[in-house]
Amino acid sequence: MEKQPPSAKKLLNTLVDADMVFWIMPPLMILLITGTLAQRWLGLWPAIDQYFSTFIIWAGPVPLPGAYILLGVLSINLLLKFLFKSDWKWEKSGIALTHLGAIVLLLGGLVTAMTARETYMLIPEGDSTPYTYSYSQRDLLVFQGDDLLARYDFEDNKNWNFEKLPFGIDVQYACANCEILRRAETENYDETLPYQSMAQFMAFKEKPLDPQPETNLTGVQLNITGTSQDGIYMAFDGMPKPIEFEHDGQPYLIMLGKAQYPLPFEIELQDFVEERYGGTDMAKSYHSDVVVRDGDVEWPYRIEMNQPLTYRGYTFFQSSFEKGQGFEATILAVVENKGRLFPYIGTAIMTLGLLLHCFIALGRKRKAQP
Amino acid sequence: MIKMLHVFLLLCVLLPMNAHAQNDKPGSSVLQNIPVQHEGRLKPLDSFAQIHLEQLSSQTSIGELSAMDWLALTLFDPQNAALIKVIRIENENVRHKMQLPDGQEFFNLEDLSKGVQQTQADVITLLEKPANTLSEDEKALISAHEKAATLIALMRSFSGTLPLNIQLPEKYAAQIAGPPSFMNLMEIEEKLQEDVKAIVLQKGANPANFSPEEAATAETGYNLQTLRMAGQTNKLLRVIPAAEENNEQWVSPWMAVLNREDSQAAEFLLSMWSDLAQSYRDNDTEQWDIIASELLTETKLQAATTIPEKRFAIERIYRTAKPYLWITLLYTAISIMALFSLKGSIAPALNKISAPLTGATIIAHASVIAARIYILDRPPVGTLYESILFVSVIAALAGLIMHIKKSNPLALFAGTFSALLLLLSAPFFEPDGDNLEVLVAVLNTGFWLTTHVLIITAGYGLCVIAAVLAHAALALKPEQAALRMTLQNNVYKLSLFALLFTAVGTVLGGIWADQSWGRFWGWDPKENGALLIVLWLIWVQHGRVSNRFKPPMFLALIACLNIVVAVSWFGVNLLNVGLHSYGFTSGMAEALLTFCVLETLLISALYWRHKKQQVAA
Repeated sequence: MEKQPPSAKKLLNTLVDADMVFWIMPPLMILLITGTLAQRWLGLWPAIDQYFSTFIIWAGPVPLPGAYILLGVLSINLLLKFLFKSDWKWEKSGIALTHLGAIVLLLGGLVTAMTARETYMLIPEGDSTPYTYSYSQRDLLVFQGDDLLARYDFEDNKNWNFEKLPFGIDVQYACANCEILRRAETENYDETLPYQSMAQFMAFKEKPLDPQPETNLTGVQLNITGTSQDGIYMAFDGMPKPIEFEHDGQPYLIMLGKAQYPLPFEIELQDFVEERYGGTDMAKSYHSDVVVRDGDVEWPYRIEMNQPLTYRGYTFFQSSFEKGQGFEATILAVVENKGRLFPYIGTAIMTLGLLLHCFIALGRKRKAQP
Repeated sequence: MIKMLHVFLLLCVLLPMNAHAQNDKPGSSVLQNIPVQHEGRLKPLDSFAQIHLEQLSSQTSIGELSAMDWLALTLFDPQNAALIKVIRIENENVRHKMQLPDGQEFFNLEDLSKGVQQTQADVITLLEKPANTLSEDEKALISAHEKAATLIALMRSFSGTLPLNIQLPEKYAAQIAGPPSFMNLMEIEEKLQEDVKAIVLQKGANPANFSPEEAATAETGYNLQTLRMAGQTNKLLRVIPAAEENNEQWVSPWMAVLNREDSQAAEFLLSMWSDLAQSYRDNDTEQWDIIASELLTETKLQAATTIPEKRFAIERIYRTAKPYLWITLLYTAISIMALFSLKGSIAPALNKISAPLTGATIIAHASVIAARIYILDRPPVGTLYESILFVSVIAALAGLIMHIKKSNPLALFAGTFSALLLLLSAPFFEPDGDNLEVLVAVLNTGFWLTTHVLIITAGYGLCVIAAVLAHAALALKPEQAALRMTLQNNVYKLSLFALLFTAVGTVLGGIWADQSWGRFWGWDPKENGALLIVLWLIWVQHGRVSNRFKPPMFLALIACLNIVVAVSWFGVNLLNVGLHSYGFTSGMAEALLTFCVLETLLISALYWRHKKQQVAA
């Protein structure tokens, strides 16, 4: 007799089964161990991308479930079991609450994964800024005068389409983390080529990505045609001077840098203070005294460890700082996360549930024996 | 400082003059409460002495000299101190490389000077290498140089104020007030250096062309220059409060000497230290006592913040009492007692006293933790060592509570034995644990971190005792079925509480991370380690509920918690990566691996033996 495909009810029963947690835990633990060990060799962020922020892990040619799939199945199982198979008795109330807490935590993880954006802002003392910057995303920006004409995400540099620009651009070389060499000392140096601006003296060579994405020096070498100053140009992250030329009498600028996001208000750094333990170089604490300006309203605030500033959906954390001769700047991590409250609610529910379950179990006599 | 070690060794000839006699030195007890700023906090000079003596020699005293006596000798009579064999070099290869005499591990500076100069270039090269790529021999060589550099820095602490062993040309001697110390010579230093320049301009750089007086002038000029250079890096003994108000940075005598114009108060303190040194060298006990007590009063007056005298007193008691040693001994004794209270004719008698004794030991243990909180003025669990202290007291407490509730001596044994094993492991993971260290900014913060760490480490303690009891339950004979049932029940309940504490502790860690860095979860090794324990417990509990794990397997998997906790607690520190990269240890991978293998073998053997007994029954 031909085997029938599983009915929706059967599938539902499988997804609701308490056994599902039992079967998901071993692969989740293996993933956790391998992903953690991989950090030793790959670095933190690449290992997270490869093992945890992914649906599939490739073990050679074999696809294995990544954290998204395992946690997704676990979430569905917990949710369905909670809704349809919970044992609504006092003795089981702790378990039900614990599961609810776990569901809220996992849901929070989903909302965070879908909505959170983590950027940063560097503000020198006395300066203010309404922009935050991406740690990892770099954009190639084309301006006509002061107007932004086009924005290109560096990650898609193989598919950049410059057709809408009034001049031609050809990407000759792109590196996510570049080493800068002297042009004249490079192997294929050809002095007859029309190198312009910094490209006359400098060349790129790709090097491995840095584990800290914000420290990668991203760069492109472009051949620009159809302008009054055609030639080969270079643009890279933090380049002090953008590519400048004219076309049909109009000035154009091209620059490459960390993706920038505007805030609906601005923040001024009045003072950054780093305290050290007496007689050592060891940091004891740091804080930033800032002024938040939103339209006509402004107010001061001190951002320090464990005391972030939260305003209009953005949270600003004291992350780091930069110091030079006569220069002091604070680095604030800026997080927009619509799921921020979930862990707090989930933790509270789960704690209550586990406490209840433990005390109910303590109250039981021999029934509780395994 | 290591890079300039060979220069400093050459400077040993310029150490302050010998004291008249070595015996009958004034007692150093008056000095012990003088505050010194060291490793980020104020501590009594006595603690400073003990830390450095243990660092150099791995001993708490040298012959008849207490740590404080040794420090007084080193500071005020460095030429005699240089003869004391205080530097311990255990590594045989390093001793060989430094051409040190065979058959001994303790050396003085004279023994070391040749070897230090010969290996200086090697050490400078090694210092450029990443620490995790160094071999044990290389680390030991660097350590030998560090010890020599520390000793020289201590010996030279007052070389800016003490009379120098130099021949000063007469015309300069007449111009200075008092004996020829660097501080006094500073008055004529500018003139002297100009004279040296004039001599060199007139007669060239070859000293052979100089007259005896010119040679003496040039030599004094060179010595002063070299002393100044060495003094600029001498910042170890910070006993002088900063000149500015609200400045918490204290300075060393050399820092005060080189910036004399900044503070008259500091100069006054310096002169008191010089007088103190003089009374030490003159063996004038009466003067010594008077000056030492005035120095203490004056230092307190000049300090911008109040000197925490009560903390000093507790710290001195803490260091003198050697609490780690005592609580380890107490746990050894009560573990043995708890073991013998399980069976035999003396069991009933032992049973009566083992619980109160364990209670007293736990109170003593908790007092040690409380003393650390008071001395350091921060929550109790900030370092790996402190986490071991805390986890062990939780394990012992859980065992005692179970024993009191159900009269279960095996639980008492499991608790005290777990505590003992953990305490014994502490020096391997953090040998300097009792140095009472301050914490980096990220760990020195607030409510969420404190609750997270306390709860999760309490969870570790419960995991450890649950695992030890699971071992015991598996090891029982078939005729002890009733006891096994009780233990199974205990293990089950303990594992539930362990899940409660580790799960809540882990998510509280996420909340701390959210408060500090703005993200709840970052897949950091420490976070993943904590999560691994939670997942393991969830897996075992679900296996038990679904009846996939029968009691023996449940017990075996709970016994494996020891491995999971060890990997999560200590193992992640070996990776040297992560967002919160603190508490990293090195060289423990082999020990951890050995433990995991032995535990796996033991649990497997207990499990199979238990299964075999079941089949036979």
